[in-house]
Amino acid sequence: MNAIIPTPEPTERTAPLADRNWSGRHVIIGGGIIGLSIGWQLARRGHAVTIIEKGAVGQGASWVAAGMLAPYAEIGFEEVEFFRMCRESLDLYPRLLEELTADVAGSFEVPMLDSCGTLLVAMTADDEAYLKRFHDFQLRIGLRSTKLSSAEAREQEPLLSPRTKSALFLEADKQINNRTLVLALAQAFTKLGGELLEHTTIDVQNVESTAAAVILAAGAHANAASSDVRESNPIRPVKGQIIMLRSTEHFQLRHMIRSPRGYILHKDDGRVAVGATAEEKGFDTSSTAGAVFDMLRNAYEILPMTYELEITELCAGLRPATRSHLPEIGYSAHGNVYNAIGHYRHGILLAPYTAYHIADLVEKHPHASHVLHKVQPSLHKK
Amino acid sequence: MRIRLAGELREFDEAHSINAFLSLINIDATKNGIAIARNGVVIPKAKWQTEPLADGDSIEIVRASQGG
Amino acid sequence: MTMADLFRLGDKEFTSRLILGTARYPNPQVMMDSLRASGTELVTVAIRRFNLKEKSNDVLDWIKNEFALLPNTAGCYTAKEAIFTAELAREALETNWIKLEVIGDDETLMPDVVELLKGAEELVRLGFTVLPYCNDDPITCRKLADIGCAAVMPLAAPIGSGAGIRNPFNIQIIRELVTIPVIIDAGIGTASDAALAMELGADAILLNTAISRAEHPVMMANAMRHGVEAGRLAYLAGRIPETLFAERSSPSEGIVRLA
Repeated sequence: MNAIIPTPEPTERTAPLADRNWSGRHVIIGGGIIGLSIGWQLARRGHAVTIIEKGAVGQGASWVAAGMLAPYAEIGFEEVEFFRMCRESLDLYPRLLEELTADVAGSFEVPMLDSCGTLLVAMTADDEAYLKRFHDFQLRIGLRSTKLSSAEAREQEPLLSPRTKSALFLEADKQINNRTLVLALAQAFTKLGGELLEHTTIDVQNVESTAAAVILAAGAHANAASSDVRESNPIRPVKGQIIMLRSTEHFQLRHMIRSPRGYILHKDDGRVAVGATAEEKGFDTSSTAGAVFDMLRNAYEILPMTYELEITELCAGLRPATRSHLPEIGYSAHGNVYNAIGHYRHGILLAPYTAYHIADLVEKHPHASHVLHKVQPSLHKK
Repeated sequence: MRIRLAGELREFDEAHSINAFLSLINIDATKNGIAIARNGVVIPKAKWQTEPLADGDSIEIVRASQGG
Repeated sequence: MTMADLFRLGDKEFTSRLILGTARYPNPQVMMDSLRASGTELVTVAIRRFNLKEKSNDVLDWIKNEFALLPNTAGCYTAKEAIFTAELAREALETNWIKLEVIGDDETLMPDVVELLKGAEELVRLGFTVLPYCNDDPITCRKLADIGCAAVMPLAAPIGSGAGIRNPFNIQIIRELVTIPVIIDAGIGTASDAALAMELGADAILLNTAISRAEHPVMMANAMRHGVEAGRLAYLAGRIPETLFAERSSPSEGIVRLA
């Protein structure tokens, strides 16, 4: 993925899997961050697991994602219940990384959790109104949110434009290098005896009769793998374009930077991720001039030094979205089929929650029976 | 034949009508909700079967999307 | 509401006097729930290029099942572009109704009146039911009515601004000058704005952002429904004149006084 023009997806190979007897194996459809983290967790608990991935493992939305673990900056007015799930997942990250480190045993790099926090900046008077409304909301529901003046914000983040009007500091947000994470998960999974079939497609129906459990984790492609999902809770792709720049020794960020129009993240491997769009364009993953222009302009207005950075990648991923934009994690209508779908913008963040809960459900842990599979949108009561 | 589709000049197999072209690019012509313009002129659905297509023609296909 | 206060627009009749946009909601579920809560019967959509990698549009199919669609010409800067978009919309959605939007620039999103009048005239000639988004300028509105538009749709304030009715006097003058429906399109921020517009004599309200970007869109959709209904009823009921001094409501006789 060094080229600016992304490499085309390899053509899918239709493997003769339809007749295979899975004889008690757990089959996971989808080898993105969700499928990989579930597969790895089941494998380390001693199960026989196969992951079937239509492309190359971890190269879809999981690769394009920026790796923000920022539930505090991303909470929506009607997503307080969902926020709790996100925060629970964030709290599970240290455990996941610890287990993963033990499993790869030094043979592979495991990313570190970066507790850098989010700086949500206002560049215009309209942005300030937006920030005020968001700040009031966060205080109302008891979240920590610190208002900073322009001078305070620039002291915390010296590269911010002098035109920054004010900022909110959300200290509990974190980030991770999602690329090394998916590679480490894949590494640990195969090391623990998991079977990984890439460039292969299969339908839930073809495996559910002989597999012990089938876990659908096919991201934006879930509809194609399950007629049940297509009819009961359809998943549509929401395109997100992102730009990768290369940082220099003079360009260092201490926090994740966001405005109402986008974000700029400094990753531990020197990438500077500038994102992101949300477009209803079907399965299109082209990079477009207008989106790139808007994102770079926004980055430049906030951090003028981005002007000098080299562009290393233009890419786009497909966020898997339900109609409510909330995930479905848990039992399906069929006994041995589990859904881990619809993670939308939160796949990296929700990977630990999804992995541990699905693994507990599959193992029929007593407490796991209480885990509801769909988060319902809820009105926050004042 | 060369057709300028959504502003991009591309090579296609021969298609002698709008309908034939639609099936070439895997669009269900019976599906509601799309409109087609050839060289800046809207072609009514009733003419998709008969309306000829020539080398170098420009084709736009549109549909409704969420808007205010 | 009293019986048969129907909103007649073009060749159709509606019970709801609220027309809603379908953009900028937090998610499709909230959008559908909001549209339903508002009681609207007509929603606007834009016309855009079909992406070949998009086999179907689940969200749009969902809207289409429950609401009549009013296509717009958003994003057009000239009469020519708007006419082309209207023709595409007529073919795609099988309706000759068009919300005519011809914009002067991206910062204000204000109508370009010269192009708007040109586009409206041609579209009326082509048999469209033309609903033009226009300035709150009485003369422009009268000209649009003279051309044969089915309604005029003056803005209350810039699109998406939520700034409310910036010039209520103009809205009243427009109401006096034209006999076709007046629909306030753009600038509504909250339910009282909608109610005030209706009290000033508007026939209907078209809005989007005030609901879609509210903290609780479904609740705001419900509020807008009530705002529009309250304003309409108050307009029909005939408000009392404003006076400088108080007018006693309780009788002056028989008051018990202390000796």
